[in-house]
Amino acid sequence: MDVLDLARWQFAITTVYHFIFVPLTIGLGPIVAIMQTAWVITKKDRWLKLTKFFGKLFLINFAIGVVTGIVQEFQFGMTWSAYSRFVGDVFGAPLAMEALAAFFVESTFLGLWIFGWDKLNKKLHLAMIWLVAISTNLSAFFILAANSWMQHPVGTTYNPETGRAEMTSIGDVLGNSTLWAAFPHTVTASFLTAGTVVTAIATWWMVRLARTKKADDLEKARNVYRPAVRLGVLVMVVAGAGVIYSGDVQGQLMFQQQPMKMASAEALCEPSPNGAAFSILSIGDLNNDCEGVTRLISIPGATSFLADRSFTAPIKSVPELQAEYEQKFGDTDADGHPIDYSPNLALTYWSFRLMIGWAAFSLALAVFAFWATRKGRVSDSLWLSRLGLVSLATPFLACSFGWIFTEAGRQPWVVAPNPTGLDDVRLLTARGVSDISPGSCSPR
Amino acid sequence: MIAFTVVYGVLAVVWYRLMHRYTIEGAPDEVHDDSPEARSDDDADRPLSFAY
Repeated sequence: MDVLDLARWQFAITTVYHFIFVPLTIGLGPIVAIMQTAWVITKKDRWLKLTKFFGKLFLINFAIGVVTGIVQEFQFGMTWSAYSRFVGDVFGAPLAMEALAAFFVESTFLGLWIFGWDKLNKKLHLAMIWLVAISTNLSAFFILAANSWMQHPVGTTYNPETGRAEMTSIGDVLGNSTLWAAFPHTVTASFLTAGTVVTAIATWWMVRLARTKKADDLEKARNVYRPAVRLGVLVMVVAGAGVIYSGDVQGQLMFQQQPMKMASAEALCEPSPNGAAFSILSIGDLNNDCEGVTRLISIPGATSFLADRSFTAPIKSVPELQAEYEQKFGDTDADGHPIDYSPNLALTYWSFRLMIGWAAFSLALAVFAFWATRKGRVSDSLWLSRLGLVSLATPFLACSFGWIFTEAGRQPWVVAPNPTGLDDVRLLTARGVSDISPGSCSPR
Repeated sequence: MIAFTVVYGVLAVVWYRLMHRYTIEGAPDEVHDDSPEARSDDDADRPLSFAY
């Protein structure tokens, strides 16, 4: 394993691990704020109980999320120093804004929320958790601005003297069309995750209490946990619709901005002049080649429709794009090695499907929980409780596979070329890694 | 890389145990409104904590 593989593995592990905590923090903060708002408005104790309960889970998750995220900053300098040098002028501003939103605004108001229950008046204290929720989402916006720039660089020129990308317009970087599709998709997926967690935990408690048949327990199940289930389901339905819509917009942008990623999502190895199908079930090996995939069930024209709103729109295949990129960007790197411009097809193909598949569990839980608690009912169904427990993990898996697809699909680029005119601003992942050998800490 | 993975493994255990503990604990049975406006308005009768 060379230094590039080690650096990629380390960053991938750190990022996927960090992102277990991020969606729950982004989504649960506003849900806790909604619960506290319901308490302030209705003065019903049930909402205060739920605020304290889910607020505690939010704080645990927030703390671990911060710890796991800090490591990433160090990796930029240690293992990705060439990349950091290249993107530093562009990333500096959004990352500083992210740090201000996350570490100053968010943490300050979270502290005031934790310690201010008996010191601030109700409405001011409520404002604290809303400020936490808003700043959490704001920090997500700025970090996604940096990531979206790597997918689709804008507002930048390449300085050949310094060998760096230099920002010409922060407005263009923050107005990047990729960002305005990625941000709603990430935030709605986070709300779906948090809604699923709230529904799953509240469902488990509701069923557990209802099965004791004791009057006190039944009352608690009805008055405390059933409203939490209904709120969780509402969040899941609204967020689920948002995830589907924003994901569809992202798909169309991906077709225009990163056609290789689109072709890789379907492992499209044959030309499709009359439209490309979307395969639901395939078999194949995990090699990065076109011979490994055999499609068993496909929806004709569906990939073309997702990409360009036409069932017959031609989609360029991986070999066609490889030939195009070789002509445009060269067929060998600086060391004379041939460049494979296609990502790992097995990884992109399956991660795209696993993202959608795991998210479907949340839909199943939302439908079952909504039906089981209709017209004031309290459910004692063990099947509902079990589905809740299984569904606890699935939105996290969906989020992780979504990001694995997004990042792996951009390879071999760490900064993908923008096909609409910023071709100079691009960087191969292999050129972004630090110039050190494994086990050493100084340049070769 | 091994040490790094161990540290993250420990963090995962800490996170799981805390989440599990407080989920099993459930919502509190009794809650009180601790906000300043909900407290009784008899501050005038309380002894001063600090006096100069």
